[in-house]
Amino acid sequence: MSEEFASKFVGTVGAIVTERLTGMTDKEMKELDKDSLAEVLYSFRCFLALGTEEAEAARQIEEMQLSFAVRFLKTTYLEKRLKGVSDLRALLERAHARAVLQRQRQKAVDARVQLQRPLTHIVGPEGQKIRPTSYLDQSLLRDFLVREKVAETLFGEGAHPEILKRAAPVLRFLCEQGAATQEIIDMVWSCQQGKHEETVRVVYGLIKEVVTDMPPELVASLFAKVAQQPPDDYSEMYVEFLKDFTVRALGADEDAS
Amino acid sequence: MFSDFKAALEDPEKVGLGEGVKLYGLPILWNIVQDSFQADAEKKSGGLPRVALEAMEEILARPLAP
Repeated sequence: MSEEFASKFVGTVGAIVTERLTGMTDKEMKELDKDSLAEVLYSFRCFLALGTEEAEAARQIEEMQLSFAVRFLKTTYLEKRLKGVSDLRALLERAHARAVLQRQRQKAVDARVQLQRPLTHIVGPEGQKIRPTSYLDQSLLRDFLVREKVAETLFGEGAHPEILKRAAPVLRFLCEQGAATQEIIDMVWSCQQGKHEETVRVVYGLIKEVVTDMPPELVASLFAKVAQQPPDDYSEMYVEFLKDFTVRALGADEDAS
Repeated sequence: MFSDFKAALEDPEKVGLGEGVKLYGLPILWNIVQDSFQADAEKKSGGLPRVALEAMEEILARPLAP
């Protein structure tokens, strides 16, 4: 078999598999086994590497991972939505690792220091290794999340407490990347109004986690909403939240000055 | 000591506490504590003023830390 034939074969199969995967119906998405997609993508990456540049194979796979994460998030099935938010968080962590490693490499270049060993990963807060993305950087991710209205999916109509519990890294990312808007913050606050106590608790927790990363003008407008709670509706949970919000917002103001 | 504590909480700048000072939930917490001094205080949840007072303590501990 000639190299030319093999290369064309890989290219053709790659295109067919990509089309099949990206064209999956909602019903197929529902029935898709939790781990099988990851296995397919891993095998597909190895296959693509046969006849494609490494960078191009990485681009295709990472774009598919992102696209699947958001599609999962937008389904009506809670189990899939949970997978979507979890996959999205993993990609955000990996893009963060990419940015950190890039900065470290640049620092070494600027200081004319030879790195002892290649920088392959960062260590996460729980000691886990986080491998960087090869293609997706934080600005590509930000633009994709904004274009796909991911915040609206997370915090808009039908926001689910189990999803909200896991949404802090996405909201924090949007804040850090300058993509959090007044509308998004309003949605976050609205998705607990008139809801069950558990949802209120989850949203308070979400805000508490992210308030230090929010731009000051959004902190101020969010607090204006928080302060509108009628005194007759004050509860111990609200008072605790008020304390956490205040301590963190004051801390962020102090750090910024 | 502030001669007008309510005014100080509502507008810290006016009483010379610095430009753009934000107090966030502190005035609300104080109102909760103060409300418990009123005649109809029994209507309020007994635990709320205590929680509010503890919250104020925690908020003020940071700037007053040695």
